[in-house]
Amino acid sequence: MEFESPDVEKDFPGLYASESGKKSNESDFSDEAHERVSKKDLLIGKRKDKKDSKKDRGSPSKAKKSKPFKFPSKKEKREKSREKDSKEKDSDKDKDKKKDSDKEKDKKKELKTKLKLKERKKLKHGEESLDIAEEQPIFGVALPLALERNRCHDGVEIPVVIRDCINHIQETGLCVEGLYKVSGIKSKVQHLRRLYNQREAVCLSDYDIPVCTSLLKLFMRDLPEPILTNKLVARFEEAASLKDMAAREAELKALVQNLPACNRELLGWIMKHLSEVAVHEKQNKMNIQNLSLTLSQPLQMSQKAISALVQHCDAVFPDIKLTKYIAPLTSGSPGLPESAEAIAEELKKQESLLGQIHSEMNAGFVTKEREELLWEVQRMITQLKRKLRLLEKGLESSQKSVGDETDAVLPTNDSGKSASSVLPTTTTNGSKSAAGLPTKEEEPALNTAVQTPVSSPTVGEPAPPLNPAPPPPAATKHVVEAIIENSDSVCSAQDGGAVLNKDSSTDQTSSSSVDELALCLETEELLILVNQLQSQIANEKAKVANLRAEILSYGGNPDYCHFLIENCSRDFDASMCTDNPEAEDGALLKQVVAETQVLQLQKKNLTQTIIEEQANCINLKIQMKLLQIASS
Amino acid sequence: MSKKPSGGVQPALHKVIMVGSGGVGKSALTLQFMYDEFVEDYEPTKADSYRKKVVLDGEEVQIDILDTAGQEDYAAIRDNYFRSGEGFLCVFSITEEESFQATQEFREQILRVKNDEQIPFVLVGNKGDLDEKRKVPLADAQSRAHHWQVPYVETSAKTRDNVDKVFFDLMREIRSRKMEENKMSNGRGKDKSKRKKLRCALL
Repeated sequence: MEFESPDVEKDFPGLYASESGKKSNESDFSDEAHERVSKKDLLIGKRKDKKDSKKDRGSPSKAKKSKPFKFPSKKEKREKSREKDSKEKDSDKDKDKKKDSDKEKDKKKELKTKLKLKERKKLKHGEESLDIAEEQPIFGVALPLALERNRCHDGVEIPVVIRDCINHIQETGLCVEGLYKVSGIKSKVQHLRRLYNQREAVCLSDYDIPVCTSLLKLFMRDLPEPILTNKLVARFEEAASLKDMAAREAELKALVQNLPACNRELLGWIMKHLSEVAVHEKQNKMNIQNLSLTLSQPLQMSQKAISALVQHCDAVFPDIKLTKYIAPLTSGSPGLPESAEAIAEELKKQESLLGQIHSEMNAGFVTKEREELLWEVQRMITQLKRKLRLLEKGLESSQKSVGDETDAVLPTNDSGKSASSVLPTTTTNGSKSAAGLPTKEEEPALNTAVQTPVSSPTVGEPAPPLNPAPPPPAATKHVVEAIIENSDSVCSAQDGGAVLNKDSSTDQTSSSSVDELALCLETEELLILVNQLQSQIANEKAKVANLRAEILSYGGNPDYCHFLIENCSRDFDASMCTDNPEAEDGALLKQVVAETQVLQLQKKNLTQTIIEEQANCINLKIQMKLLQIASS
Repeated sequence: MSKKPSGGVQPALHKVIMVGSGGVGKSALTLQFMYDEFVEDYEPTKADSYRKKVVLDGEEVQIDILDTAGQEDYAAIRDNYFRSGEGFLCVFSITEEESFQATQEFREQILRVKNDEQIPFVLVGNKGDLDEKRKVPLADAQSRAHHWQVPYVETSAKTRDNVDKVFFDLMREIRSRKMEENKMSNGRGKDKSKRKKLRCALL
């Protein structure tokens, strides 16, 4: 009956190292004996246990306690009733003790589940792997556990899921009306939760903003202990109600220092993010009051506390910056970073990831995918280390690193950070981004319409001088120049300020000076780019003509379109004329206009990145060619 | 992450793991095979992984090589790798008696993790170029290999002697093993389970 079970521990020394350590320390034998009942019990045990514990947790009404205010959330109830279970009297002095005993209980419980896990592992090992989502979820567990299981590999100590949400909202959602107030589609939120729990790769940017905000709220609401901690939450509330601003700030600052590091970091991230949201209150209609009203429950703190923390977030969390998370590279990524620092940084991430995979596997979660990932990450580390070593050894040997195994690897960028982000523009790529990023059909048309000044029959220049976007035909020359300038600066930085030689005669390639060669190559590249851009412009023109024709075919004057929108929004701004039957349409239009603005902003940023990347590409191409010539 | 499905159009992938004591030349063999280079300076490996496309008997295949740590310090993570290995190159140095003795332990560890006596496995005596310093007689190594029913090959990572041979021999074994398993699971599934049961009973 016992299958291969007794051998497992022997087979994997250190597999249960942490558990066995604990076992000897704190487990009582009765517990263990109890665990070794029968297989059936063990298999259903977990669920049973859950049910039982729910029953045990008693009725919520009994659980009420003398806390500054109450949250009707389930978790809170559980927490409170658990405290009740510890059969001690309610007095504030005893609170801490109780919590300790709670903790011990929790520990025991964990130990139990761990033991169970072990048993199950023994039973099932080799046949079926454990479900990590069920055994080690990310949602609904204590923050340190969630963090450990859902680490950002770049050193920021908050769970990836929150980081992803905040990143996505910061990037594209700040102007969404009713941000955090509007709920996302439930099924999608649940789906995302499952994906995160199962440690699957998630691309949050594929989801709507409300889904993200709901996911963030869900995570926070599911935390068994409020982020301000049971111990400190009351004092936070007191501090938040201080009238004197300076005193409030000082008190909050001091209290935050008493939070566990992971709570502090997460709290800081959320508050900084919320303050950013509030900055855009004109667009998203969410001022601090609205936000704190909406988030009081999920964050498990009072509105006052949220307002105060958001208000003082810069002073209270001076060292927290909302940085975008760039996940460790995968084999699908376009290439390895180029500079030594970037490689070192990436290496750190990969090693952190590797550590996580190992610990998950050591905990018994062995699947084909995870094994695959283990080898892949290991391979990435090997490549990075190798590249780093070669870099250190100098340029001569660096040629080899490109060869052999790294099939798909094409150096993209010095910074490494953007290595995984934007691909170098090809013709099609460029024209796509030129047409405006929105995926919906009508939006590009609208975009152009809005951009077009009333009189001009062509698509106008990009509005701000900041935006030397490749697409608009009128700006072509600027663009090319901008790109040339851009790459010049990069290049001349390397060439020690050599003057750009615009002659592209190939005869000169035989020239003895390397600098000259580089410049020739650069000119070649730039000419190619010019051609590319010109063909793109032609494409764009054709497209614009098509779109205009389309607009006309709908019976509208393309110029009128813009006029209408302007008009409506002006109407709207001036006064809400309620008797206007078109008020609804106006509101819609206004929203669309706001959306368009956001999208235009995004477009601007993206085109800028594209230009930067292009410059980098040219630079790298030149380097490659130089190396080729040198080696041949 | 999972952009490259191992089935379908992708060439077959064989996973090879290098094991053996520290300093016997596992990394040297691997690097020689991968990049045709011999690294003189010794730097202990924690774990490294490589992938290479090769042509095995006219068929294009991929080989994944995992170069493990010889040092005991990393034994804990070694198991995670062993489990997913399909074939093993068990390396010792012919100039170091202890490393030869250690192969016994590595063999046992692998068999425990894989629970499979037939696992593709080659015993490799490295540093063949240092024959004048030989401490492990050829006959000893051969008899151990015979006892395990595995091939024994002497290599030199420095001179590239037999380097390709050990990798290719092992890949052939892995390949034939996989074909055998396919047959088993298709046709005589019963036999396999019977055999397995029998072995369990013996244990």
